Amino acid sequence: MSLNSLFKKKRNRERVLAGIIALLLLVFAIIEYKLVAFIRPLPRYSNVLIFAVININLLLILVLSFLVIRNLVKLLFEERSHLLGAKLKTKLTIAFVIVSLLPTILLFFISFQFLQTSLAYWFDIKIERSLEQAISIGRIFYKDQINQLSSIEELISRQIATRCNTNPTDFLDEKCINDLFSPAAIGDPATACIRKIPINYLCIFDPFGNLVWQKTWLPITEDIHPLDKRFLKELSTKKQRVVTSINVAAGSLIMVAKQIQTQESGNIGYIVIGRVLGQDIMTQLEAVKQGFEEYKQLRLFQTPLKTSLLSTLFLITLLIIFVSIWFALKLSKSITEPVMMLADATHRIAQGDLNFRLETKGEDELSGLVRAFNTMTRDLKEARRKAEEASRRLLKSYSELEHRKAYIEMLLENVTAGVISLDPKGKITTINKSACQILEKEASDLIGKDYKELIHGDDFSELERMPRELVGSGRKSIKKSFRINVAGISKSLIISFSLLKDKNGRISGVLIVFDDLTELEKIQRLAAWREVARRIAHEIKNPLTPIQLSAQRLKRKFGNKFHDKEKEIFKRCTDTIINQTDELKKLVNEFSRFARMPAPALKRQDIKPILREIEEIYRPLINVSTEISKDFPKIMVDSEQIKRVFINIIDNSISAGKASNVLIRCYKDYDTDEAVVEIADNGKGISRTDIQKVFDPYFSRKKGGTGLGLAIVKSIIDAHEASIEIKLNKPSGVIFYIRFSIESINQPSSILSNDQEDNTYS
Amino acid sequence: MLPPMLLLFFSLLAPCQAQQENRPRISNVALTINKGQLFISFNLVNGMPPAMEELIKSGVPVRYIFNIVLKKKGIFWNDELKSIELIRSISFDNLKNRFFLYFDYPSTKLVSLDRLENAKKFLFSINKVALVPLERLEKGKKYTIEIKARCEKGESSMPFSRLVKIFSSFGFSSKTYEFEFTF
Repeated sequence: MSLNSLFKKKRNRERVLAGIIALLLLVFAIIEYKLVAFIRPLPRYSNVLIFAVININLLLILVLSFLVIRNLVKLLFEERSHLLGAKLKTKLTIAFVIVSLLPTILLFFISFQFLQTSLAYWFDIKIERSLEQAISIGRIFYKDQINQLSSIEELISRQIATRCNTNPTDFLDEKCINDLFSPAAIGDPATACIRKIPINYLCIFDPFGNLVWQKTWLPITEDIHPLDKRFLKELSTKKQRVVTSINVAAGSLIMVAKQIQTQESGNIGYIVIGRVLGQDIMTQLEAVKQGFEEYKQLRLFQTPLKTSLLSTLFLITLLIIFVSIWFALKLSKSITEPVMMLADATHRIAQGDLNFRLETKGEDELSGLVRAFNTMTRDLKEARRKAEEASRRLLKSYSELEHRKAYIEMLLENVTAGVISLDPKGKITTINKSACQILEKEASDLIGKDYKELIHGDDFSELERMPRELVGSGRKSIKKSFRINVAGISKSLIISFSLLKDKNGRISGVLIVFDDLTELEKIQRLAAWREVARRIAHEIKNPLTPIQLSAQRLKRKFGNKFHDKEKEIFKRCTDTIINQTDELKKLVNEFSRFARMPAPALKRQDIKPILREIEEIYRPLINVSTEISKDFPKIMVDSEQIKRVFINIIDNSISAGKASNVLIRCYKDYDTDEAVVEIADNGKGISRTDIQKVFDPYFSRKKGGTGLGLAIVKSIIDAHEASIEIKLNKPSGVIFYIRFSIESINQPSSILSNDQEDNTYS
Repeated sequence: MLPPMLLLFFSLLAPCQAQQENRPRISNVALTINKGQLFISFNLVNGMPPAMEELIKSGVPVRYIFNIVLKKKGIFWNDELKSIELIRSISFDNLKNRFFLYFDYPSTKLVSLDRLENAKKFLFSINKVALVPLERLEKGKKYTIEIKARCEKGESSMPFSRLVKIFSSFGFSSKTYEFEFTF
């Protein structure tokens, strides 16, 4: 799962959690409000409900605070573990928190102080005194009204008691009461006094509570329901003035009720007198009352009010702090997360994952950056694709070049000609295996060296001239044959110098190609010598027999015709002719054998019997010993010719080297996979300069030697497709190494025709 | 001489006992029979703590609710014969300087009084509340009567009253007074 998707899941989870908490907070706040505000009267169990809801709210705030603290702790750990983007996130969070926290805390303390001050002002003694005075004024006013009404009531009661209590059966005379309040009685001073008193309601009952008389004055316009009997009954028991009030359209009707009593009759009825206090006065009085009562209540609830206000302020502040921290965390996260995503994406892209894409929905700068990053990634991917394609092409070309180079190197390595390239300064840049073999040097010793290192001494002066000649001649290449001395061995080379030119015709070096013609020359020389030998044998052999026969005839016929001294001379001369002719015949026979070397009749056979025969031949002359290893295989040889090889070599050791011991060792060389026959003697050996010429025809250091013995050996060995070489033995003598290829022993050579094979094995 | 620990115990216990004594309680319970009915009378003692008195004088109406339950004792559970809830309210008019009392049982009644002491007498004296006709009671059977009084603060016009309501604890509930009698 990518870091991006992990972030997204986590963010969504937190969002959902925060959303649920916020929703629950809202729901429970509403429930709380409803419980407090609208459920009237609050049942006993509602207190439990309210506190449960408050506790749930507190729990939710705690959960919110836990989330905030968890995020803060997480941020701290991220910071400590040096997580990418944590520092930026921390800085942003701290900055946002400070920005939001400082004014919030400041506001909290100011509000706290303001609240304290406000409460102190509210419950200031001056205010309390003012309110008490105001309510006192209200009370005085109200009492004054009552007093006034009481006075009027007294006056009217007295008038009714004195004037209208005439009939002992009827307690109150209705006509009398009417007269008392009628306009006709205007001249009566008592009536005039009554009418001056501002009353708005007058009601008179008999002692049984029956309405006797009732009258209303403006501003009362509605009918006033008379007091019920029960109320009047209470009046009769109390015998005191009762004050009551009812609301009318014009204001509040204050009523004073009392029994009407006379000394003679006692209770003769009830009087209720009322006055309307106007709406404006009542409103003001009510306002004063309400203000006073509210003040008293506030004073009474001062502590819970203070607690509740401070708690609310604290909770709101806490909520603001948490929300601001939350917001700070979210905001910092919203900034750092794209940065982290970008960093992660960069890391992944650095690791080569160009398929990675960042998702963004917003339109802000960071979203723009993410989009730009995606574009860059796409471009990078395209560029990489192109680069890979180009790389593939290059690799293909390189592979082809390498293949070609390897092919050329293979050609150079396998070509028998030596190939050396020089740079314009004459430094050796390349040298092939054949060149190294011909020159008997290591490539690593020559690369980078001057071409003078190829050949030393006098031979180089001729070689040095060639580049100059080449440049001077204007030709592309020149060719010359040289004879050079390599490790004391003279080699015949044909060397070609070619100028290496680039496309612009500039000389970029010299190519030296040379062939070792030594062996070719030897073969050619051998062939020439064979031809010479054949002709000599042919030309000399024919006259030799008549010469010898003639000499013998002369000796036989005329030997006895001479005397003494002449006879001796004649005999010696004819014997010389005959003997020399024999010698010449032998020589001619050698020539003839050399010239007419037959093709070997190869047969796989054990070498042991051949060597036993050789031992027997030379037993009287020298000590010939043989050592044959157990793993020495049977080899394809012509036994007669191989015998000739051993005889010629041992003869040479005896005659030229004066050897007394010859050791023949046969073993298998596992390194070269060859069957090796060593023939070592303890003779006087041969000089280093002559050692390369020993196989040349007619090269001999012994007196009377034909120089054909080892040449014949070489011819026979070549005919067997084997090799022979000679080395100096230690402490003295020489060693001949004859090497038969085991492959050629076991399998017929592929270059041999079927006929040849048939001939060989027949 | 009391040991110090015991002294501490008593000193801690003393306020508790004082509190117990000052707590509202039902007393002077009396059952009477009149005209074939069973009546109950009782008083609420300490029904108006000083704080409540202050509350009333500040214009906040206060309700006193008396719950009377008559049950016949059974083997497993008691059968409820009668349950009565009496509500009496008191409010004070600061302008008129009078206490207004409202009774809802046995009939609605409004009483205005000058003095608080008189108002308390009216409020806390429950006289002759008819429970059940005697024919509903069985001779020799055991009955229980549970009486409980509680007080609630009424609505006020004070600002933040809803908020204050959460934090203030005006109002009380007396212990249930329970007694048995055999008819």
